[in-house]
Amino acid sequence: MLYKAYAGKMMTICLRYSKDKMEAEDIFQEGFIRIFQYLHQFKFEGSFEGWLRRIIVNTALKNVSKKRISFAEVNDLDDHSGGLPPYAYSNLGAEDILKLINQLPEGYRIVFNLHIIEGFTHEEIAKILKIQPATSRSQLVKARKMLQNQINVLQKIAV
Amino acid sequence: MTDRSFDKFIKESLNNYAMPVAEGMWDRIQKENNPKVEGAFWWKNYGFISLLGVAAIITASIILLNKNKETSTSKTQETSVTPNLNLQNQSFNSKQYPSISEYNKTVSKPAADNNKTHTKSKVENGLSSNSAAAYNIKGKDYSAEIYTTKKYNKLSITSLTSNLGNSEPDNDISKTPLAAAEGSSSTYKTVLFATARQDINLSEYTTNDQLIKGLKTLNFFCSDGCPSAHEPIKNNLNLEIYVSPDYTRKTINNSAGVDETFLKRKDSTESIRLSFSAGFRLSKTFGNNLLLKTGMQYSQINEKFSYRSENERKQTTLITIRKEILATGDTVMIRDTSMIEQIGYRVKTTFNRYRSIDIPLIASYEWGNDNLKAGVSAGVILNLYSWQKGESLDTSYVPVAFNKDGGRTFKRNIGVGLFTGFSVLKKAGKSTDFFAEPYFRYNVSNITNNRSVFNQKFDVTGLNIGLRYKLNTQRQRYFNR
Repeated sequence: MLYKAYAGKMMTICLRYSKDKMEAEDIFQEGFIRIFQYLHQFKFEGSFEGWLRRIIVNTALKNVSKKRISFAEVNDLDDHSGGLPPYAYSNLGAEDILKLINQLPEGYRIVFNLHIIEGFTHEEIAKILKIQPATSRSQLVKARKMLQNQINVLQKIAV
Repeated sequence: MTDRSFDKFIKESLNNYAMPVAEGMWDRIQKENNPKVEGAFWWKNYGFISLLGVAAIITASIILLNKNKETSTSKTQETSVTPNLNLQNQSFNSKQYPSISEYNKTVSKPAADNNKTHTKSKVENGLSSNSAAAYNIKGKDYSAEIYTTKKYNKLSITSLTSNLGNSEPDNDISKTPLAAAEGSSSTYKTVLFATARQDINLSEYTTNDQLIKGLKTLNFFCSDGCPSAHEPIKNNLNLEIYVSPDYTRKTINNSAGVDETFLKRKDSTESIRLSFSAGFRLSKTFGNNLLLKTGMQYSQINEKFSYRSENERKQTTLITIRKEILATGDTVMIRDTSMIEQIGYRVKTTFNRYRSIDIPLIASYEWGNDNLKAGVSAGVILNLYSWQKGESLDTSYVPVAFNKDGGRTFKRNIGVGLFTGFSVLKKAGKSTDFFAEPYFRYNVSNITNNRSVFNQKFDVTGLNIGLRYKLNTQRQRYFNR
């Protein structure tokens, strides 16, 4: 069954784009309604999962566009991640990473998701979010640094 | 690790990771995909219901008004007798007036030559039923009591005016353009009043239009709620301003197969507090007792949300910096980091607000005297806009904020509410009444939308306390001169 096979993965996407579980569930529900609505339009030309992902991401982005997201820079980013040993990541599970991503400021999080996980270019992100490509780039750099800092802190606590 | 490898690590970690999905989600999706059949029916459309309600109120009012008019007209036609009010050669002194019984005698034995003089010039008993009217003509007091009973409620205008007109022959109303226009009884009686009071000189007017225009400039028309010597003209437009402390009853039930434990837990975290509403209504009187009211009101339902989260962990990091001088003479800064963890619980309290702007459409039936009145009201309350702010538990038992922009649980429009109330009005001034109105508002639809895992509804009981201002009291102007 389509729902059982993909629901978990799609929920992960929804959680990445939302600030809490309730919002994620709304996106999930709306996304699956769309999926069933447009299922007959799938032409079996590409990956079915990719098609599903695209619909869920689009639904999430539609939800994002309704909100006023601040793409302001967060300046208190002291770089403590330099020279972070590779084993720092070894203890991190997917759920931990998801939590850390959710703690990012909304602007950072969306750009990070779109570029790193969905694979959009900065020009495409700029069009989607109606921002400058340079803003997208800087948001990504800051997001990555912030994420690395958080992992660094976690690793120190674990040690 | 480079940025590239870091990105790769994140992508690979999350790409195929599957999070658990809430129970009942599939049911909710199915529910949205296959809306209930009855949802499509027109009688489920609250807009249609409200329109139907308004149409029913208006139709009932019209029917009631027409019924009243028909009753009075039929009474008039049935008892159309022209009494011979032979007032000539009598001085207008109230002490010498004939009593009702004398009139009855006179009327019961009508003179044979009645038909000669009064045929068309009749006026309805519009001056004042069962009342007395007083006139002051050129400084002299002429009081003429016009007795009317159910039997004889038409007077010969010719006989009246011929008597009154003795002092002012030019004002003989039977010669006016309106003399033949008996169909317009209200205009005709206005002419009679104006002529009797010598506010107008009929000889100056040659056409109906000129006469009506003249009367209008004198603000002299009386179309309904006409005055008598004992009662002033009734105003028919009021403004009501009110405020109400409200007690709200909340009902929650399951809508998408969600765990009942969740609903119980949610219910235990929320408690209703005293709410309130305030607004204004314009009311228009139809007939003697019926009022139609509409306006705008603001309602706010208050709720306290208290959530106790167990096993709260608070971590404090302590960094101690100390200097150490090595044997080589170098000074080294040493940082010692230690961590303290406290475990306890945390109580979070939020005051939730459910706000709405509504339009009441209410019909009232009132009775009583000028000093004290009582009334019953019923109608609909149409919601214009609703917005909510606060916090509630989500299905994972975590407090989640809902607000005007991000709240997806609640509707922006909660539809129609049914209103019923009982009111008591006490005169508080010349044109002001104080009123108290206990009421009950039943909301037809839920405050939550279809996506929500639970249905939530509010019913409100309150006590409207306010003032009613009579707006068009200037209609009494010409009786106070």
